[in-house]
Amino acid sequence: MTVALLYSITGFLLFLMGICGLIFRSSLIRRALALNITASGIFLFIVAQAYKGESALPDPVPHGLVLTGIVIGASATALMIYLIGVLRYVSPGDNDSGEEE
Amino acid sequence: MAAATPSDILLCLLILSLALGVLGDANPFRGVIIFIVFGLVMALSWTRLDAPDLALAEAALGAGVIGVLFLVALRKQGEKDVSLATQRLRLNSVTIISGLLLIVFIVYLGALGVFSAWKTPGKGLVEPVYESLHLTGVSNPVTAVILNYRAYDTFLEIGVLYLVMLSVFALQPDEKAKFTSTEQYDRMLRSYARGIVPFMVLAAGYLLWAGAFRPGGAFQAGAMLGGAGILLHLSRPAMLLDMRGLVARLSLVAGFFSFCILGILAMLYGFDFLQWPSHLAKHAILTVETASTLSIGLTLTGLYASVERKLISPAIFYSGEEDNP
Repeated sequence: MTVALLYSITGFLLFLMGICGLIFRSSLIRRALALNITASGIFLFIVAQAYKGESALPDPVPHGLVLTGIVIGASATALMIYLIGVLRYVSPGDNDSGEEE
Repeated sequence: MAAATPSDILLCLLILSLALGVLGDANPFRGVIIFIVFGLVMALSWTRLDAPDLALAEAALGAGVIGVLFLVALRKQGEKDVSLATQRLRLNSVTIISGLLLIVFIVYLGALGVFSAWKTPGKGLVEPVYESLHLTGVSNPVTAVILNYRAYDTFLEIGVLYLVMLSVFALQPDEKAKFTSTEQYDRMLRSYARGIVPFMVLAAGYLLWAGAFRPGGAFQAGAMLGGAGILLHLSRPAMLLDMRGLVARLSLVAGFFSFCILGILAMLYGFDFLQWPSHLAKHAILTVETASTLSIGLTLTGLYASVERKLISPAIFYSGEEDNP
């Protein structure tokens, strides 16, 4: 098994785990964490594709893409956390601990 | 192609089990702590995959800034966890049919050869990137990709960052936050911040400069600057300038504007938008990098400050009808 394949599979499994967390956890903070795990899986997959072996130079284009992705992901997560904070005070069903439905 | 060593397998298993811990741990606080560790281990794996630029960014952003944001969100949230009133996924005709359709779709994609495309090790864009590296004004290929070959992507990305900050501004109440100076802040934290922040700013400057020829660059430097800003905010909030002031606003848009202005200047001289002439490329890249570093650092600080302030003073979000405490 090559290094690229191993890390690609790991990235794919991370992606699946993140998606499962997104579906099956109801806590919003946990969902934000799950989205971050999903993103990490995608990044790992892309960067594993860029890896060309011990002596060869890696492909810098995917690295550039992932670098911008990490920064965008971080700011999107900050926005998510902010919106979760807003939701705490504006959602009507929040006071009675989500009893309806 | 290099074969995977046992340490690679160990690292992958560690990543997967940490992710399982983040998603599965019953205690959300512990989940966030594991997430920070997960970010650091991801940084390790970036180093393993020959991507030191990513390792720097991940350690500063993925593990540092985001971890701190999640911790603040949890601390302020207290015992009440916000969750959507979702129903558990149940097996009924709709879910079964959509699941089957998904499987059919994936098999169809497999038949088209989508999944085997990446198995054949292509050369990627390694050669084209290195061939014209001497024209880009920098010798670090990742910086060349970000700020020369694909400067347009980075331009839009800086725009997205600014958009995030704008959305948070839009959601903020109008009144200015009142910082109570009577509040006691940790003296240890204050002296720690006093000692470390100048060095963090210095390190950010170094990362910015070093990005031209070795791992580093605007994003890593911006993340470092953001960390310094968050530390400042933690130790003495009143010292931080108001994010709605003119200087702060100008700094927030500095990155985006420098891209716009230099891009249009390039067009005036007959080049394409954001196409740097090779003898001026170094200066152009350094200009947009410096401005972007300032913007990224300030955006991260501002996002942290907004999240914390928002979560600290909930009263301003009540419209007054309900009198919950």
